[in-house]
Amino acid sequence: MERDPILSVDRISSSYGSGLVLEDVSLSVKEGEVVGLLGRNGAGKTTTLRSITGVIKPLAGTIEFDGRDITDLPDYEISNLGISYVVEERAVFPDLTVEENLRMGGIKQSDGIMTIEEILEWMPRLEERKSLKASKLSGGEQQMLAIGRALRSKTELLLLDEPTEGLAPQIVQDVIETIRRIRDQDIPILLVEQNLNTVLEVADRVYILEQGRNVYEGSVTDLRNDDATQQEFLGVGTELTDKITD
Amino acid sequence: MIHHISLAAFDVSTTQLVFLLLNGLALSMLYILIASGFAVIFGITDVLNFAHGIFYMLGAYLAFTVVDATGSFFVALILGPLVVAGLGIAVERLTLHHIYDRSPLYHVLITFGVLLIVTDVVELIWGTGTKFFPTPELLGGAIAIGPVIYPRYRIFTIGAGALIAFLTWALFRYSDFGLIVRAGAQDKQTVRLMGVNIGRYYTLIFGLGTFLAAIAGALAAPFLSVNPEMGNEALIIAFVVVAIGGLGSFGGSIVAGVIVGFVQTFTNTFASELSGFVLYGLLFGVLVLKPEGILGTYEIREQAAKLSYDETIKPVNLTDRRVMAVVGLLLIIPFVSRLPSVSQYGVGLIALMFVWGIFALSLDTVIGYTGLISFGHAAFYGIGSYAVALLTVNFTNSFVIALAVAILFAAAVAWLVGAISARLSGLYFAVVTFAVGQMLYQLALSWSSFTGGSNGFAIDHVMLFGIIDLSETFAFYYISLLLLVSLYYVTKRIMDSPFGLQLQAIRESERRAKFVGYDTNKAKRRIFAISGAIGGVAGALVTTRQTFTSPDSLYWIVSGDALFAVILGGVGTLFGPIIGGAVLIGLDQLLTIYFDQWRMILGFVLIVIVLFAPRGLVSFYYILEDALGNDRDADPTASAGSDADSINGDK
Ligand SMILES: Nc1ncnc2c1ncn2[C@@H]1O[C@H](COP(=O)(O)OP(=O)(O)OP(=O)(O)O)[C@@H](O)[C@H]1O
Ligand SMILES: [Mg+2]
Repeated sequence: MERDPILSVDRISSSYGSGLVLEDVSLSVKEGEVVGLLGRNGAGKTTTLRSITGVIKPLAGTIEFDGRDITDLPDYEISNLGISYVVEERAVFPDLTVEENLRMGGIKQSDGIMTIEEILEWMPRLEERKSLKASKLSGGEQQMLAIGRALRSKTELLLLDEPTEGLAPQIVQDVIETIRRIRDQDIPILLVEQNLNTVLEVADRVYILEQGRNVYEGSVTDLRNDDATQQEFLGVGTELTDKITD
Repeated sequence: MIHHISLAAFDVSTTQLVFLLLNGLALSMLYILIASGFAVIFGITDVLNFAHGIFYMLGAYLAFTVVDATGSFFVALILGPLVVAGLGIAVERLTLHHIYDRSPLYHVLITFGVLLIVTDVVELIWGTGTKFFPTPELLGGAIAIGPVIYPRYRIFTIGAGALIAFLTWALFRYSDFGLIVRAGAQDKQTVRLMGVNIGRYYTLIFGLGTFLAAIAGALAAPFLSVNPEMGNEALIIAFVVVAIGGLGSFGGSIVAGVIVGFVQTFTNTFASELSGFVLYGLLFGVLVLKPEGILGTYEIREQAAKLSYDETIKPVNLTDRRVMAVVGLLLIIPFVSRLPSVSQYGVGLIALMFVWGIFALSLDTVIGYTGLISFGHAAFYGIGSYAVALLTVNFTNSFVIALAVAILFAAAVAWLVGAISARLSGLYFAVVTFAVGQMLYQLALSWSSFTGGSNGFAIDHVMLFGIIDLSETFAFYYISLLLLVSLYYVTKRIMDSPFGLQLQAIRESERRAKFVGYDTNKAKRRIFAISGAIGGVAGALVTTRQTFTSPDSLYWIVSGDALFAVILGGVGTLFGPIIGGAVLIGLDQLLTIYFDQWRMILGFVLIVIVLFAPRGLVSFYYILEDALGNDRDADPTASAGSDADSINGDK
C-alpha cells in the first residue's frame, strides 16, 4: 500500500552566506515511516533539517508538510504545525529544571503526543531528576530530555539529528529503544545519523547525502546488503559503525 | 550611675539602628524595582537601556500630574506606570525591534537618543524646578515601631516594593510567560523551535521593565524629590546594582539592591563624604573579582561577550590628496574671515569642532577597530582637562609640558582600565568603563580641595613656547588643526600596521584572534592606552581654550556624546568620526542659540541615523560617490582581502 508523504522536500538549495551547502536536495517522509538520512561530516545533513524547520531559509526549492507549502513560514509557525526538531547540540535549557524543560516543549502546543507524566514514566532517569537543572544531567540524560521535550509538543513529524552521537554504547541502546517506541506510536521520523547501525536497526528507508547532494536512496534492506555504497559514501563499512564520535 | 548612662546610650543607638534599618529597607525596595526592570530587559533582549532612568523619572512626573488632576495617589500609582510602559512598548516596537540583529552598540545609542528626547520633553512640560509631591493623606504621619517613630509612607513603600518585587518574581517563576522569558534568555533559537514567536516577548519585556522603573519613580516621588536630575540618579543606581548583582539576573538585582540600599543608607549617615565612592568602590571590587556579578552566570556573560561589534565596515581609502585639499581650505579660513567681527566666533567654533573630532577619533580606535564599546571615554577627556588645569595652577603654564602630562596621565589610567577589563568584552566592557568614568566624576566632585568641587576652577592662559597665548582664537585654531591632522595620520598608521590588523582581528572574533596566537589582552590594553592618550589631548585642548575646568568634563553624558559622534560620522573609518565629532559639537553650539530643547533634536537625529544610516555620514559620502559613478567597491574590498591574507600569513 502506498502512503501519502507527510513531508516532501523538493530540490532545495541552501547556503550560510557564501557558497551552496545544499544543492537540489530532495527527500520525502511518509506517514508512519522512519527515514534515515546519512552522510559524512559536513555532508549537509544538519543543514537539511535546519532548512525544513525554517531555521535557515532555502534559496531555492520547496518544502511541503502535510500538503502545505511551508518553505517561507517562520520557524515558530512550522513548529506549531507539528514538526518537532531535536537538534544535534541537544539544546536543553541549562538553567531550567528538567520539568520546566518539558513544560517548554508544550508551551504553545498543549496537544503534545504525551503528557509530562507519561514522558517521565517512560524515562525513569528523568523522573528521579525532575527538579534538577538540566545542566546537571549527563549527556545521555540530556538527549532523552531533548527527545522528551520534543514529544511534549505537537508532533506529526519528528526530526532527530544524531541522537546517539557521543553516547556510551549502553545509553545508545536506550535511545534506540526510545526511537522504536516512538515509531510504534506511528509517528514518522526523519533520523539523521552517522552511525549506520542505528539506522539499520530502526529505519525503513535511507537517503545518503554527499557534499550537499543526494547520492543514494533506497530501502534499509537494500543498503544493508550493498557494501559498495556503504564503502563509497559512508566510509569504511562496519568500521564506521563501531566508531563512537565525541 | 554608670550603669544607667550606658543603658541610655544603648537606647539611643538602638533607636538609631532601627531607624537606619528601615530607611535602608525602603531604599533597597526602590533600588530593587529600578534595577530589576533594567535587568529583565537586558536578560532577554541584551539591550543596555540607558533610557531606564528617564522612564523612572517619567513615572514620578506622571504620578505628580495624575495626583494633581484626580487627587488620588493610588490611581496615579497605577495609571502613571501603565502609560510609561505603553511608551516603552512603543519605543521598542518603533526602533529596537527592527535592529536586534545588529551590534549592541546601536541598541545603546537608540536608548541614549530616547534619553535625550524624553529629558527635554519632561523639561518642556514640567519645567526644571523641583516639584513638591504631597504625601498621600491615607499614608501621612508616622507610626511607632518599637522605639522608633517612623513615617507611615515609608512603611508603605517597603510593603509595596516588596509586594511588586514578589509578584514579578512569581510571574517569572510560575507563569508560562516567565518560563518563556527565562528560556529565551538562555537560547532564543530553541525557544522559537518550541513554537514561540520570541520577538513578541521582547516587546512585552520592554513594557514590563519600563513599568517597573516607572512604578519605582511613582513610589519614590513622595519622599525623594521630583526633579529633572532624578532620571540620571536612577540610571546610575540601576547600572551599579545590576552590575553588582549580575547583568540580566533578576535574583541578582534583588540581592544587590538590598546591599546597595543598605550600604548607601549607612555611609550617608556615618561617612557622607565617602558615599559616592563606596558605591563605585563596591561596584569596582565586584567587577574585578567576579566580573559576571554576584549571581550572574558565566553563560550569560559569554553570550554578552559574543555580541561585540560586528558590522562589516571597510575603511574607505581617503586619499592624501583629499585630506590635503581639506586641510588647505581649513588653513586659510581664518584669513578669509578675518574682517567681520562675527568671524571670531566662527573660527572659534571650527576650532572646537577640531577638538571634538580628536575626541571622537580616540573613541573610534577602540570601538570601530577593536570592537570594545567604551562608555567611559569622558574619563580621559576629563583627565586631560584636569591635568592641564591643575598643572597650570600649580606649576607651569607651558602648553607643551601640560599636554605631555595630560597625555601621560590619560594613557596611564586608560591602560589600567584596559588591564582591568581586558578579559571582558561586549556590554560588560561598556559597564566597566561607565563605572570608571563615573568614579572619576565622583572624585572630582568630592575632592574639592584639589579639584574645586562641583564648580571647578579657572586657570591662567596657557602659553606655547612662552609667547603664543593659546586661549586666543587663531592660535588655538591652528594648534588644534595641527594636532587633529597629526593624530589622524598617527591612528591611520597604527590601523594599517600589523598591530592594527591584530585589533581588527579581535573585533571580528576574539576567540579566533587568540587561537592564531595573538595576545589579545595585551593588544586591548595598548589600544586603550593609545585611545586614552588621544582623548586626553582633546580634554587638554578644551581646557586650554576655555581656561576653565569642572566635573562636567567627566560626566557620563560626555561619553554618550562621543559615542554619538562616532556613529554619526561612521564608525570604523577614523575620518568619519572626526566629521561626526565636528558636526555634533557644531550642531550643539548652533542649536543652543535658538532652542533650549536642542538636545531633543539631536536625540531624533541619533535615532534616525542608527535606524536608517548605521554607517553614518560617510555613507552619504559613499552614496554620493556611487551616484557620481566611481567604482569604490573594487578598491576597499581588494585591500580588505589582502588584510585577511596577511593576518593568516603572519602565523
Ligand atoms: N552556521 C554555519 N555557518 C557557516 N557554514 C556552516 C554552518 N553550519 C554548517 N556549515 C557548513 O555547511 C556544511 C554542511 O554542514 P552540516 O552541519 O549541514 O553538515 P552535517 O552533515 O550535519 O555534518 P556533521 O555530521 O558533522 O554534523 C559544512 O561544510 C559546514 O562547514
Ligand atoms: Mg550535523
